[in-house]
Order: sequence, then structure tokens, then C-alpha cells
Amino acid sequence: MSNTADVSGKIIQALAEYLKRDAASIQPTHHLREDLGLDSMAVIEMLYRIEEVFNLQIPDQDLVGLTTVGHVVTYVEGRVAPAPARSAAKSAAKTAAKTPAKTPAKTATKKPAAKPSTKSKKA
Amino acid sequence: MSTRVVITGLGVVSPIGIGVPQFWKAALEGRSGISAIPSFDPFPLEGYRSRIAGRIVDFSPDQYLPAGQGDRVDRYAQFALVAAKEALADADFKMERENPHRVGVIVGAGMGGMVMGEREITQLYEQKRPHRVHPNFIPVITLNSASGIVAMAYGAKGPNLTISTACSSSAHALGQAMHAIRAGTADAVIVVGADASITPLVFAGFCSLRALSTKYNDAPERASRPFDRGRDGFVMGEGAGALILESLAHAKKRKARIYAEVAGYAATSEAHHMVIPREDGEEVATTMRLALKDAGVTPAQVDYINAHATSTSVGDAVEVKAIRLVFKSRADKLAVNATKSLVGHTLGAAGSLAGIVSALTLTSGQVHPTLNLDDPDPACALAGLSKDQQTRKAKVALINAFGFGSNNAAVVLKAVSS
Repeated sequence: MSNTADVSGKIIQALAEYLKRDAASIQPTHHLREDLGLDSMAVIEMLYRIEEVFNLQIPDQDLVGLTTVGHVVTYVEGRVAPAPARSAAKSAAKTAAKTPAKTPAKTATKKPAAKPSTKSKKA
Repeated sequence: MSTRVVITGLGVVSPIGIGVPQFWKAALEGRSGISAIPSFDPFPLEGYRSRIAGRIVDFSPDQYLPAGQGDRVDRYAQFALVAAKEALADADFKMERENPHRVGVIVGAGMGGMVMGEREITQLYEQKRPHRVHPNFIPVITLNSASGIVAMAYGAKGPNLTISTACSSSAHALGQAMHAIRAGTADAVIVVGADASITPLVFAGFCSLRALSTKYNDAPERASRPFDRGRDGFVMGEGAGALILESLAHAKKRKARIYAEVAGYAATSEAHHMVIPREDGEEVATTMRLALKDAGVTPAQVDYINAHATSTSVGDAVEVKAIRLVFKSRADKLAVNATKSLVGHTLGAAGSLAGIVSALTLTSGQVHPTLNLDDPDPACALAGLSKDQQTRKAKVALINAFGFGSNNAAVVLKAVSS
């Protein structure tokens, strides 16, 4: 299973649970606010769930670029990927690339990967 | 004509000074009370996105209060006791000369006794020994512990109330005290706003809410920057403000010095969202209009606004939008400042500190600077905002205060000619 499918699946599942709707109805192109109806507080709540799923701490500054489901997937992939892949994924997140970077899935799962990068001083 | 209500005494416990003279001097000098949080021991500080606050360092209640008086209440209530004591002395208000049942206490508090609250909850869940929950836990965390202890300390037996509307709590305390005196249920009210919740759980909660500034952890004094383009959330503060309100007739009878009149007040709900303000500013504008109407003044008569201005991206912009809706071309003729740029957001104390600042602005003609307004955000532009101290002979002041829960308050103060 690719990292992309894994991360994407978990994020869409988390979103589906949060929104109480069918996961199949949520697309990567969906805009969190306009298509899924999340207000800024709901985005924060949703990211709170995603932080738990991936054992992440998402700095406030990174929230700005996270406006679609695809952005969130790309961003999370970048954060859970091994160090060398991170900068690439991060810039991908910034430019809101629709095709998420393909990185190995190793650290994407339960393994308490990458200590939350609070010290990385946010983008 | 309804009973006129005036302010005759002030007291402050703040990150930039304990005592009104110290506070006001620091405010006019533009001193920041924001500093790094040294520790949330035993919790790792790295777990907190924000690591700065407007803290009151080395506060010891025994330095200000009779020995033991502050021992059985939480930190926020200790602040309340100290601020109320100063305000009563400042007003030369002697309870032995009053009918105590005609003197009320109204406290605004957002969080209350969280220092002990968090400790006891943690211990219970960790140690699983319910019989070891402290006997004073309930009296301390009950949200009216401050209004209770203030009444006991100073002998005020009139209406004793606590208002908790998050960040607008003590603006409502001011307004409700004005109503109580207007309605004739009290001659005087000790109004206090207080909070002290820079505590591991509450602070973490505000971090999770993404409400706090996180960009300036290495430059704490720059973090609280209302209306500036670089603002990124509020900075939590702590403290208390106290004001003695009384009817004009009562103040005259005892020849009290009068700071200002509390002339109008409005309370509304946006009925919109728990934490997000309506972006068009209409509800905030309505609140200001209602308060002005209650005070019998027109927007053209207002000289100064003590803005709610927490330094959040949306909140500051909405407030300025609302000010423009109400004041139109007058908006750029108003002097405006943000007290939270000095001390951070003291939550339940914020409205009372705004009341104190506004009273002092009316009496002194001095408008304290708004710190860190280095790159004014065009979305928040007002000509009367300045990072420097301004001189302004203001006759009418407007205080804005907004709270979570879709809550709005506005209070109008008028200068009283001697």
C-alpha cells in the first residue's frame, strides 16, 4: 500500500467520522470550508483528530495552506515521511500540489514517528 | 432622568504594575508586561505552542492583605481582594459609614479558581483517592468565590453576583453594577474583574483552540500586537481591576472624588458561533449603538475607544469594521488604543482594566500607546491608533468587550466636569 493511499484513507476516514458522512463522498479536491462546510473552529477540531491519528503536532503557521482535503493529505505525508523527503513534501503543501508526493509508508502508521516538531519554528 | 452612576475609586493588579499609579505610569510609557513562561512543571514546555504570557511575577498576597486573608482562595480571588482594597481606599469609601446592605459586589471572572482546580483534579485522577480531595476544593472553584471573599473582607452585604461571559465578563460587571444602582437596589457597588488561569490545563486549552500567539515565543514583548499586520493570536494575561461605582448623589453626599460617569451599557448576543465573531461586524456595531443610545450620546460626541483588540486576525478586523459602521467619517477622528497590547488578554479582568484605563484617559487627557503597531494592517486602519502616547481631551469614552459564546458588551463613560 502506498503512503499516499494510507494517509489519504486515514484522513478521509477521520473527516467522514467528524462530518458524520460517507467516506466515499469526500474527495481530495474538496475545499474544507466551501465544499465540506467546515468553519475555522471545525477545521481546528478536525486537525486535532488528525494530529492524534498520525501522532503529530501541527504548528499554527502551517494551518494557512491547509484549505482542501488534498492539502491536508500532502501536508501530513510530508510530516510523517522520513526526514529527507520532508522539505519536498512541505513545499508541495505550500504550492497546494494536487498530486501528493509519493513517499514510503514506513513512518506513516502507528510508529511514534518524528517527535512533534514544535521546535521547527513553524513555516 | 435615571440615577446617574459614577466611578470614585480604582484598583489594579496587572502584569505591568500592582497599584494604579504604577500601572498607569507603565501604560503611558508603553511598557510590555509579556514575558516567557519559565515552566509548566512537570509538563514539557515544548508541548505548548505558545510559551509566553502577561504574568504577574512574584505576587504574594500577604504583601498586600492582612495575614491569612488570601490563604483560602485561589490566585484570581487574591488579585480581586488586592484590587478591591486599593479601589476602596482610593475612593475613601468607609464601610462603617455605609448601610452595608446598600453596598454590592459584582465580579466578572471567566475561568475562576483554576490553580487549585487543576491540581485537585490531577491528583484525584492520578492517585485515585477521592477521600484526599481537599475540603476547600469546592468553595475555591465555585465561580463566585471572589465575589464572596471580597464581600467578607470588606463587609459589603448588598447584592453579591458573579458574571461569567468569558472575555467580556467584567465589562458586563460594570454595566450590571450601573443597572443595580440605577434601579435603586444599591448605593454603591464594588466592581471587580479577575482571572488567573495561566495554568497547565487552561493554557493548553487555549493553545489547542489556536487562539494564542505562537510566532513570538522568542520575543515575548512583541507578541501582543493588536491591529498590526504581524499579529497571530492573543497573549494570555492575568490580573484584576476594581472600580467603585456609586450613585452621583451618594458620591456627592460623601464628597468623593469622581473619575467619570458610567453613562451607558449594552449587552447582546450574536447568536452566531461559540468562538467566531460575525465577520460583517453588524452585531458589534449594534452593541455599540445601543450603549451610546443608553448613554444619550451620539457617535459624533465620542472621543475615545478602548478597543477589545485581542490581537487575533479576525477579531481585530471585525471590531474596526464595526467601528466604521457606527462612526462613519468620525471613525478616523477618534483616539483608539488597545490595553491588551500592554498586558495581554486578562480574560475576566479585561473589561475592568478597560474601565480603569478609560476613566484615567478621561481625567488625564492621556491615551496610552498601542504597542507593536509597527506595520498597521490596512484591514484595521484607524487614524487615531498610535504606537505613541497621545494627548486627547476626551469627554466620552466607549469600551468594547466581546466574549466566547457569541457575547458582546459595550460601556460608555463620560467625563464629569468638576
